[in-house]
Amino acid sequence: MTLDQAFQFLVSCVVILVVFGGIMGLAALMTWGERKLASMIQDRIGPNRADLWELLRGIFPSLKDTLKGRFTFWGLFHILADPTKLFLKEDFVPRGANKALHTLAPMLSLGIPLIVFVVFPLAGPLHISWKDIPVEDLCLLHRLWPDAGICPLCSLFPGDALHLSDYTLKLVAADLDVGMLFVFAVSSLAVYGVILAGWSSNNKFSFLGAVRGANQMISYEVGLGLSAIGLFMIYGGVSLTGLVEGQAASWLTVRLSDSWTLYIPKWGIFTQPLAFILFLTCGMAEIKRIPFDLPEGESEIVAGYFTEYSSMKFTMFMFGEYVEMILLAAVITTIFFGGYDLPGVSVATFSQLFGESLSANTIGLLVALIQALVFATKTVIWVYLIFMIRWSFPRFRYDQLMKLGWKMVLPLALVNLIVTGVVISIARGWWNG
Amino acid sequence: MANPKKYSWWERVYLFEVIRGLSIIFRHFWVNILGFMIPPLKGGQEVVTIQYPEEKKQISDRWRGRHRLNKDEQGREKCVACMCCATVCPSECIHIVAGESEDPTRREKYPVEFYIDLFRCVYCGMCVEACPCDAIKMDTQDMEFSQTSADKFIITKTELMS
Repeated sequence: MTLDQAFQFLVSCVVILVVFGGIMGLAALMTWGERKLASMIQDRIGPNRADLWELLRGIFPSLKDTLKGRFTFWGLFHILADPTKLFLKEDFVPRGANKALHTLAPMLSLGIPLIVFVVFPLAGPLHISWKDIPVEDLCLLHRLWPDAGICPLCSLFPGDALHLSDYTLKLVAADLDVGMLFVFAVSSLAVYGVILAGWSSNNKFSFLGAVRGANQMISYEVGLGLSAIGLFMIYGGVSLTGLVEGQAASWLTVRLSDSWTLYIPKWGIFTQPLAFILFLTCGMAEIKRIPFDLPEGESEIVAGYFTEYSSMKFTMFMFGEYVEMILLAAVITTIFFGGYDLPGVSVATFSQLFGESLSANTIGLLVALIQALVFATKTVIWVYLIFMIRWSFPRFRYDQLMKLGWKMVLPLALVNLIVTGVVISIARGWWNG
Repeated sequence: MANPKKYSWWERVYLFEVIRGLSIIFRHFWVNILGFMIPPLKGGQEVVTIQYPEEKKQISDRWRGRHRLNKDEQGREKCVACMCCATVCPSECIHIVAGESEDPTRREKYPVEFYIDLFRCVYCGMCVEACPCDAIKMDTQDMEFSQTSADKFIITKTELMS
């Protein structure tokens, strides 16, 4: 390992921390946001009782005189109140349950969606052209005591230097070449959480819910994979950075007349609109969201596979669901909505605009920051749209669910694949040899 | 059951109807959220919820709440302990202990004690209708009389007259 690689590793660690913090923060906010959005849609008020001042007065009685009245902020502090309640509940394991698997299942449902986030590029590659820093200058021990002789950092990288004069920093936790395959592979492991939860609970309702969940998730896995293949054909690869760069690279041009030409960014939604609808449908089924929430059903099988879960284990299932929702939003953003790409935001255009007043490094950093913000904004917008979709669909019957998955989504995905292949072949001129 | 409704092609495609549904959802959401966030737009919101403990609904005058005993000009109870209300009461929740008054300025019979068991009462209002002296009324509009122990729900004459 050279010093350059070590630097990239450190940056990846920081990216992981930022992404993890962002996801957990967003998921916590979503527990309140979903209920608030639902209430707004249904002309209600929703959660609005949790009072921060009351909480602080309870913890610190000396604040009684300074903090008067209520401070609820439209019920935002329910995100504190609800986990507190869940923490204090009894952690119940039913008699006859397999205790090890019963504990493992919520860990899997929360952990697996979190793992997938390592492959998403937050921003484009950041080019640094500054100066080379020898390892002796980086080493703090060496600087403080130049006569100390041997110091750990210098002995790890003897004679090495950090080549910041021409350095490309990847703002991805792990830039895997198998990108989307990794996403599909790891996210499909989430079915284990469902099956283990249902099987280990020693409860018929849990078991039925798990069977339904596993059936549904495996059925829609096929459509999910097939609908995305068209994109891989167009952008030539499954790496997520490659997909985003392919979408950001060029424009689709539509000639309206001789003098007017419409420029559309070459995002996945514009090149593969049908695949987008199919992918969204399958994705919603994968994360077991309404209208595909058949694994749960109060009137039929209680809460489905997590009937026998309480306390923090239940919270982990719920959080896992929200993290999966963010995951779906991030995947859709990355492969269909250009990821971090926003037309006009690139190093080239920014150096044309601000090239005189800002240095190349500052422009690169600025662009990377804006791109990360764009990616986050697009993801949050998609989370919001998934919330909205929840309230406008009636739930499917189980046979309708299977019919939709196998008889409609799958053939349409195949047709889309063939049409895409033919169009690409014609566009690239295969008949010319 | 056979599906009685035949869907048109437009409806069977599902996608366009979904977009129509989503647009309704979006309209409700934005009208309400803007009404909450921006005070000048408050009138536009469609939420009709009453924030109960802070704001209360206007109760109708004929609404039957907790009972009270009417008083005369001197502040004494109008009740003459005729037992009409206790007799007519379908849930037998009124118990009156009648006594003879020494005061020459009023009728000689009066209730020494007057109990109403609020747990048994069905708030039918028949006692009010039966009363010949307009003594028992249910116009307090009081519905928030929760207590911490069950025996406090048998209310006495002092509580009824306060």
